[in-house]
Parts: sequence; structure tokens; C-alpha cells
Amino acid sequence: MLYTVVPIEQIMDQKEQRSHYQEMNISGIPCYVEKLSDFEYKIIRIHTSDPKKYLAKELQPGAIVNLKDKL
Amino acid sequence: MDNEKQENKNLEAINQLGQTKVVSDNSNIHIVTIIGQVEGHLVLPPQNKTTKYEHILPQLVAIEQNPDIHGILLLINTVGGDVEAGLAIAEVIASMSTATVSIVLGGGHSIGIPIAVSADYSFIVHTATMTVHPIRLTGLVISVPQTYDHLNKMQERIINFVVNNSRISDESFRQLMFNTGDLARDIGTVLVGNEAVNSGLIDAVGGVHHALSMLKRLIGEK
Repeated sequence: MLYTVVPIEQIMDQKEQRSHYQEMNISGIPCYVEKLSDFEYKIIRIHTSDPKKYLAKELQPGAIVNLKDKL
Repeated sequence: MDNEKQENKNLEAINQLGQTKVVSDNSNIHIVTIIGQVEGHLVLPPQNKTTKYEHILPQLVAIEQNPDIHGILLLINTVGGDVEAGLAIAEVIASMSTATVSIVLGGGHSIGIPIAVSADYSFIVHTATMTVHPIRLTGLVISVPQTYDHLNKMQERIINFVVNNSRISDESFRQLMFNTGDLARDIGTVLVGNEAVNSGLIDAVGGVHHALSMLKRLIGEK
């Protein structure tokens, strides 16, 4: 049951079929990322309670992570 | 003298570990953000920005168990969402021994209200709004008295939690919830900054600085 000020039809609108974003752990931090290529992902936002992590350069929104560097 | 010592320590770290910095200045205050829709048992379509309870709840329990974390700052900017998920988050926050302070920024509507009041102390910024309104029923509705009873029961859960965790009385919260004439197409009340404090829902008007000062005070007391 939803308790929100947003109209239900707006919430359930199915215009977009698939999400552009996916969740991924980068350096141990759960991130929302956008897939650019097989190895490259753009950081959309990170999900952690540690305020210091939000200052990390490589985790800034828009930063591109290359998984090849992490291998 | 202290600088010299620190330099020596750093040099040692480079020699021993090949790293320049080993001691990290971890903050003992962590932040938890409640944004967009509070997502419940149903995954919402992708155009919704959501806060998921499966992220928040384990994080809160982990914080509670971590002896290095002494306080939590809750940043709230939500339009509401799932009743069960919202109440679950609010109950976990309310039952934590770690000091908690919340700030309502932008909006803390509907199910965002119990989450905002669940902290030990709550703040609202001047421009933020909180909408108090009744729960709406969507989907298949069977017109039997039980439908109303069920809806009423869900509403009572929210009212009870808010009344038990803030200064507002049961009577005034119901008055705000069932108010007519404030919302264009609905029953309810929009509280802006000061009004939320005057009604007793939120403890004080203030921003990040006030919230962090209060959090440090609460940590000191605990």
C-alpha cells in the first residue's frame, strides 16, 4: 500500500521499459552505474552511509570506471 | 614536534606498506539519505527515484553494531511511498541506541513523516514542506465495511507512530490529516518549515550546521 503525494498513475507509468542504470559494487561500495561499454561504467550515484566516500574522486557522479583497471 | 612525529610515521608507512597514508580520519557520524519514493515489496518502474529498504535496513543495523560510529544524520527529501517499508525504516531508526538526527530538506511528505520523527531530534529547513494526508486506496475496491476497516487500521499505524515519536497530539495530527481547504484536490495539510515545528511534528527549524551540533551534543550525552 502506497502513502505518497505522487499520483499512482505517475508512479506506475510504464513508458520506459528498462532501467538505464544497474547496481554494481565498485571498490566495495554499492553504486548505481550506467553501462557505456562492456568494461566502462559511468557512476550515477553511490550508496553508502560513510560521508568520506562521497568525496572520493573515482566515485564522483559522472566519473567513468574502467573495469579493466580493476582486474 | 608533532609534525615531525607524523612525518616519521608516514615514512614508516611508506617503507612498511608502500602506502602514503594508513591512518584514515574516519568520521564517527554517518549519513543516511531517504530520497524519492520509499520502495516497498514492489519494484517501481524505472522513472521513479527510490530508496530501498533492503539497502537501508541492513545499513542501519551495521551502523548500530559498529562501535566507531556514534551518530547518524538522516537527510530526508521524499515524496512518500510504501507504508510497510517506511514504517520499517522508521521503527529501526527509533529503536537504535546510536544518536540520530534528521533534517527534512525540500519535502518530507506522507510516509516521510514517520521517518522524520523517528530520529532522536528532528530539523526542518525553512523552505521544506511536509504534506499530511490520509492514505488513498487504489486498485480493486470491494465495497464492504472491511475495506474501510483495513484502510483505517493502516492509517492508525502511521498516526500512532507519529504521535508516539513527536510532540504532536493525536487530536492535532488527525486534524491536519483530515483538513479540508488546504490542498487543491485532496484532504490534508501542507506544512512549510516553521509550521511543522509549531504543530509539534518537528523539533526545530535548522540546517546542516544545527543538525550536526545537535548530533554532537546527543553523542556527548550518550
